[in-house]
Amino acid sequence: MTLNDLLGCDVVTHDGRKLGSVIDVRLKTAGPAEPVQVLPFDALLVSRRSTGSLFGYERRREQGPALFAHFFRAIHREARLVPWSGVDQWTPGQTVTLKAGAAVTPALPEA
Amino acid sequence: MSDSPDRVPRKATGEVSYDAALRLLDRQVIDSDGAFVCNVDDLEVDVSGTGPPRITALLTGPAALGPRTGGFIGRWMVATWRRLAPDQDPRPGRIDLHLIADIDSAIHLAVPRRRLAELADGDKGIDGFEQWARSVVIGRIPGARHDPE
Repeated sequence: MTLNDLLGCDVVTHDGRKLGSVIDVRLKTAGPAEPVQVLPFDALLVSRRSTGSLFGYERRREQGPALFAHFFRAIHREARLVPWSGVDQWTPGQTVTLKAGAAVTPALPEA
Repeated sequence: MSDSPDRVPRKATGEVSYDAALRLLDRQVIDSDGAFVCNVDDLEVDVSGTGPPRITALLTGPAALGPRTGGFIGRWMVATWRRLAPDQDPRPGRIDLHLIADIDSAIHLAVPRRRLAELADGDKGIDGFEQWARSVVIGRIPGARHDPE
């Protein structure tokens, strides 16, 4: 299994509503003082579009220039962060189904 | 002599989270001597166990890049690589995460490139195709085995 089997998968809620596609996976380390050995999944970044997602504007506020940031955040205004604990089922290369009541929050942190 | 993973010098990167595609995919991998090793073409995911899936290794080479590229070009890339590979069941180049010393705009390894094969746990590391091409193709070119006169 590779990351490519997850990127681009459709993300649907437990009642079948499509939220978008997986554009990235947030990984967490054992802690800032720990060396990298394995990186467990922490959350999925989900958006209806993938254009420009590799610039990271839809998930970080501190990144400029402002014109690009405004443009790409407008494209990804519906980008969402879904904790991996809210994932019910993952069919590699196809679909990620969320649990009922999974916490779906905006990918861009509050200002 | 091969080191155990615990004897590879490592340090904390000081960060608690990484976005995989943004921070790891397509990044350059640099060895402990500062030399370029490869680009990260995909990441190995371990889904065994009860916890969440985990990234366990960096993958590199046409076998990792082809499926990401997709379509005819991706399939052609993998088929060509498989046809030219010396092994019956070739696998993409693999660098275990425990060999990473630091992650910034590039991924820095704790070991030199020449040691990757011996640390690859029986795999050919990242140089399988290059070793084959050097011995079977390049090495047979007249004059290839000595410095220019």
